[in-house]
Amino acid sequence: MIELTDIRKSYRVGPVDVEILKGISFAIEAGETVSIMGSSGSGKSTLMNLMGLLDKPSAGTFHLNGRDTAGLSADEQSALRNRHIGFVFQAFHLLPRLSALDNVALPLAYRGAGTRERREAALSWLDRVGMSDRAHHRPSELSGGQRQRVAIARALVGAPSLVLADEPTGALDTRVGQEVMDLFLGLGASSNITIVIITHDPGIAAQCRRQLLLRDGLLVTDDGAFAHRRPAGGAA
Amino acid sequence: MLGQIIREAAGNLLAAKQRTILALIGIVIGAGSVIAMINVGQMVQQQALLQFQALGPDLVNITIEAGFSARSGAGGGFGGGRGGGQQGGVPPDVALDLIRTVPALVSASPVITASASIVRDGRPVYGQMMAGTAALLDLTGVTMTDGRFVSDIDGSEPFIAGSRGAFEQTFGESDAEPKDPLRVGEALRVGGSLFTVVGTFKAGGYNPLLGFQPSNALFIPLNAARRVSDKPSVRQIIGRMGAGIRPADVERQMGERLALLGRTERASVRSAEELMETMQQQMRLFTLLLGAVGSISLVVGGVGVMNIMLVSVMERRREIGLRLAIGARPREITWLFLIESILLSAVGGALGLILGLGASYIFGSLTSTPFFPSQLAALVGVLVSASVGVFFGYYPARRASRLDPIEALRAE
Repeated sequence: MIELTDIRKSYRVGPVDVEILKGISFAIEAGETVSIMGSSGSGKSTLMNLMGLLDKPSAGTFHLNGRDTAGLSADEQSALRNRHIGFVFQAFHLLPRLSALDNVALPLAYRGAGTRERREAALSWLDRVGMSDRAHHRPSELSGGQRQRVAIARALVGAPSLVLADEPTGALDTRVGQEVMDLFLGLGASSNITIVIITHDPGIAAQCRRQLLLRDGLLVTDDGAFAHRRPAGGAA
Repeated sequence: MLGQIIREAAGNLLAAKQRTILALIGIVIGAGSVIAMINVGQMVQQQALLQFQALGPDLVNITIEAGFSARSGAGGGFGGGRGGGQQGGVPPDVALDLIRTVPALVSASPVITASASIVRDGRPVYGQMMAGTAALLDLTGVTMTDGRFVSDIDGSEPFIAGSRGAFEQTFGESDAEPKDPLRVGEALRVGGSLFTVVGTFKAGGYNPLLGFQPSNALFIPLNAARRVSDKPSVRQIIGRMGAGIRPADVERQMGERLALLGRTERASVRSAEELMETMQQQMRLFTLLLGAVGSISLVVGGVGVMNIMLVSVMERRREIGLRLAIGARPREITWLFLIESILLSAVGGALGLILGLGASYIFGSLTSTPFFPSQLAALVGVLVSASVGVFFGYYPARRASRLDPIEALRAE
């Protein structure tokens, strides 16, 4: 369902082009849980931005649900993100002036859903992350773990096929982080959602069925998922 | 979606109260000054028109001009004539003949402006002395307060009907009681003669068509002009046209009569109506100018809105980044911020309307100009301030929509 073929990304820093990703190829099947590990500067954040359609590769192709994402307009990218991709961030990124309920409902607003539909879907997801009793609280009134639960509900409310999580437990202590991970992976599995977690924590990475390791812009390890892969060119 | 955007925009404005209030002040003062300026312009215009209308749109001011150009054009050669000459003007009896015989005029009076030194109680005073007939009472719109107006049977008697405030230098209409009003029975020395005040009046509003201020006027019988001037000559006739008569008719009939009398002068007619039109044009220009001056402060207010919006965009970069990441189209981000600035300037415009009308009301009561709320002022003020919101809100909103979501999410 996700297929990257020889993805390259370089940025111009002053007079020189710095290549962050140097030709990455892999495919992820629907419902897989994948971790992407790597030290800082390995290119894992850049890779996540490309997979999240927040950035465009300098070369290579990226197919999402069988669709080539090259040449999409900004509006088409927005629509694809809205329909198919959910994000979970280390810093939660909840809107401070909206209640937990409104935060969760926000992605549905951008696809033109009616007020009632948004509210019902948001309430049901708040319930599934165990936050229904905090629906009308603002993020500032919630603990870190609670905020990330709300953020997970927001990532899942639109029934995406892919959820990208960037260090989802990075701002939480170990115990709370583990609770959030269990919830996250559990919801992903029950909804058959592909989850990609970017982390530098081997403990988190180990909870995913498949682990990718990036080093200096190259994929050095792709552990254990060959059985699920469709034939695709270039992957090591 | 729009309803939600408006609610969110209002929420954001309320959340940043201090900034919002500061931006609002700029817009309120800007919109208020546009509205006040235009409204005051309209009030002044309306008042001027009312003053005109008080004397009637059928009022005409006829100037008797020297006419050799007209004569030579007609092939009459050099025409001197009695009392004519370069200065124009006709002797009083000719003027009276014109008034009697020109059918286009229903009532009229010659006006001889006499320049003479006036002495009252041994002190020189200033007043406008004018000789004319009883018709001036109606034509100048004055109201007798005591005694009587000059009469046509006064002949050349040294009588004066004067404004109660003739020696107080007021302009236009003044309800103030003169400190030393002219009194019936008092005597004024004018040139070599002693004049007796037979009546006093209160003047109405100033009318530019008359060419003099009734509030400073001392009227004397037409033939009494001889007492203060060696060779009185009528250069001005004030009259009223009959129904359906055009100023051109008066001019033509007067010209014909003057020619019949063998005179070289010609009559030039200015009507209240024409003057009103000219004045309205000037007033419109004046109002436009006032509005433009007011708009400058509105533009300053707009720059304030832009500043606030730019700060708001900077502060909310993470929010913008998140909205973009979860699928907001750039256009929707533009709207989010544009609606905020439009809301800001709409509320500012509404408060400015109250401020502007209040200022016009105060202006009205300070200058005794009748106050009325001008629809034009309200419309222009609110429209202009709304467009200021769009104009100055667009750039920050556009900037917000063009943020790179990755950069924006990383912002502190």
